[in-house]
Amino acid sequence: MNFAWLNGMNTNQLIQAYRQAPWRTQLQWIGIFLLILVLIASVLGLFLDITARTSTAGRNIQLMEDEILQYEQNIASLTARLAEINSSANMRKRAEKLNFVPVDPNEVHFMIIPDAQPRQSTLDEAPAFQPTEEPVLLQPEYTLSLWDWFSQTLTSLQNQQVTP
Amino acid sequence: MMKMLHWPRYMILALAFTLAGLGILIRAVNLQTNSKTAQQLIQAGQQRDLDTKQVERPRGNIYDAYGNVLAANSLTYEIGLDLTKDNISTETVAAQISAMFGSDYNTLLDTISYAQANGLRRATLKRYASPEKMAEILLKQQEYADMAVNSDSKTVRGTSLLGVDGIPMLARYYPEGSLASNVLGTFPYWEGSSAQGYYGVEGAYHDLLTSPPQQLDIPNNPLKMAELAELQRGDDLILTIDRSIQMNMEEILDKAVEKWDADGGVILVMDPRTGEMLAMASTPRQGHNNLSSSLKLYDLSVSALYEPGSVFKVLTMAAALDAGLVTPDTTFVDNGVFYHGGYPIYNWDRAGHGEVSMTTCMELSLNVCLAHLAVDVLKPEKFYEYIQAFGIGRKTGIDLEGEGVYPLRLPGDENYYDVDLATNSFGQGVSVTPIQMMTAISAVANDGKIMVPHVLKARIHNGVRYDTHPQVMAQPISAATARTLSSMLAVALENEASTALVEGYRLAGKTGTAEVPSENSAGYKDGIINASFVGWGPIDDPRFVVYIWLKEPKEADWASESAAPVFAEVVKSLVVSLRLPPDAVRLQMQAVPTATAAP
Repeated sequence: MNFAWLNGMNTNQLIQAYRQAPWRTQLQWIGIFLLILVLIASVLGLFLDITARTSTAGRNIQLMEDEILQYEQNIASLTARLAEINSSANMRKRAEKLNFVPVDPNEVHFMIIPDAQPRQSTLDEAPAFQPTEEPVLLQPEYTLSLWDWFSQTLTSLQNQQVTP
Repeated sequence: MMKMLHWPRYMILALAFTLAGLGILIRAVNLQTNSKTAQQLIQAGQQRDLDTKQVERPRGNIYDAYGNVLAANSLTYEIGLDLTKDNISTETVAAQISAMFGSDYNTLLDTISYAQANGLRRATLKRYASPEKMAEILLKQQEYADMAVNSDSKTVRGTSLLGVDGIPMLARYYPEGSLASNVLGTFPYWEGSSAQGYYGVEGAYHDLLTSPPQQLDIPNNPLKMAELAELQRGDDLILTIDRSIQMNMEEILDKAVEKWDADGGVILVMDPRTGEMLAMASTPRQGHNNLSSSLKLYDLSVSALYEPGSVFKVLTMAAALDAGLVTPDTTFVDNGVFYHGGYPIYNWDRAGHGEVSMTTCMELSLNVCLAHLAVDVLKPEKFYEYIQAFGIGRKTGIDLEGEGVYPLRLPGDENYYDVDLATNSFGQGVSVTPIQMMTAISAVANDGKIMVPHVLKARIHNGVRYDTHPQVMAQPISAATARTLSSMLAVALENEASTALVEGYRLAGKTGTAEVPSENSAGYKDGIINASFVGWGPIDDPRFVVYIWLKEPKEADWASESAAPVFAEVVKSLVVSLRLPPDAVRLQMQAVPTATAAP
């Protein structure tokens, strides 16, 4: 190889030849700074999004709990109203209006009805509630750290790729 | 040289940082060791992090055996004035609220002034206002607002109901009025968070029914919403009481009390096989909201103590039969008087009836015969052993608040006299409550077993139903004795052609006419009686035991003329409510195992 052209250059000239133009260096710095800024903004934005969604969910829960209490009060009140309408005194009045009279035991005729069901309470028929598991109040997404969320998402993506 | 000039500055800066660091360290150590300051800071932090809110869950409902509501909660409002609003017209508000609720105008003004002076945000004007009243207030508010818009007058524009609002709150409500009020008891909701159930079911099961208003700390941090404590609502209770039977019993009792001019009365209906109380009528009935301090006997059936008289003879005869000392045909020569402890014992008719069987002793209700059984046949040890086995002198344990009891006086006790053995045999000189007496005698109707009387059939907690299981309290006599005595008492009723009999149904029963002890002196009141009747049926498969007590009826001399016909009326009503066919039909049905009778 011929390096003769190097003989004619001093060190400064050599550095000058390989030095970036100042505007180029500045651009690079600005680029790196902006990249970091964008990264930080993205992370902050993600945090903000999650926090905002968490806050909205939390407020919704509070509102719904208030609604539950209101519904409960309304149900209680309607139950009382229904009970008043169906009270024995009111039922008797309605029966009398329809010309029913209290039965005289001597006039009662008993009949044998095979497979007839005895009188039952409406509360007997109500299915008993069987508690199964704790209800989920907040989805895991709202309680995960960013790192957890990130690693979980990666894992699930990997799993998706692995699964044919 | 330059470096030498700057070093003091560096040193000062280093010193400042060191001191600051040291300060932080000292403060940290101080906070860790001085718990008082730490607690204050923790509290301050929590106050910023938490909102305090009062939450009230409804008190549990009470249902009868067939799901009819006996006690519930109705929506009411706490009327108040929001003092943070501008341009509120306190005089107008006080005048309108005073007119609507009949409250004192000046008191309302004082309430508002007090709240304003103390920097409160809201003044409470009326609690537990009905939804109708609340609607009326809102209508008035709108009228004032319309008037202000349409008027040029400054005075008119100044008058308004601005700021008046209503906070929803629940009040205890009994849709059946006074029906079964003695069983249900009462809940003085107007006492707020300190309210406690009194008497009956409300008193006995207050802890299950209640859900007192609670101050909850609600986290402001939405991430902590999962930490919200879930408040439980009160349990719903299902009673063994049947609303229709209860209503019929109350009607029959009220009529009997009026007819015989009695001071009060009781009709109890129990299923002897389980101890379930089907009805507990008591007169006089107290209103649910009556909590007068003079009210000592809210429910006569469980708290009133009285000398039961001849119904007690059932226990004496049961003891003698069970001990194997007599049979229904054992004879006794009744000469009309029996001496014991220095006192003569006479029959109700002051006559001797000659040689009589044990069945006739019960049929004619002969005091002399029963005194002879207690004194000469059973002797004190055996007699009181049986009486205690029947539960006399102890509470039955019925699940109602306010059960009364009077200790059984036994030989050797300070206030026990020899004559007590003879008088106790026919129910004098011994005090019981109606529920205690009926529970004891229910052994005869249930093959010798006494079941614990109860009114709670089931409770519903968080949607899960928990049933009450029948419990055997004791078995004072054998099944054979119980059946023998049942037959004796059925024969006794039939032989005397009692007014307690009901056509088609074989019933057993016993009247009780008791003298009433004088409050002021020893001995008994002249011409005043307590009339009782205990009966059950059908005797081959008893489905009900009925206990009747008419307290001091002025128009009746004997239980056979007053309480016995009431029993017949009760049974006529019961057989319809319980869909209990006459014995002949029932026996026919038993031949068809899957058959059910329908009236």
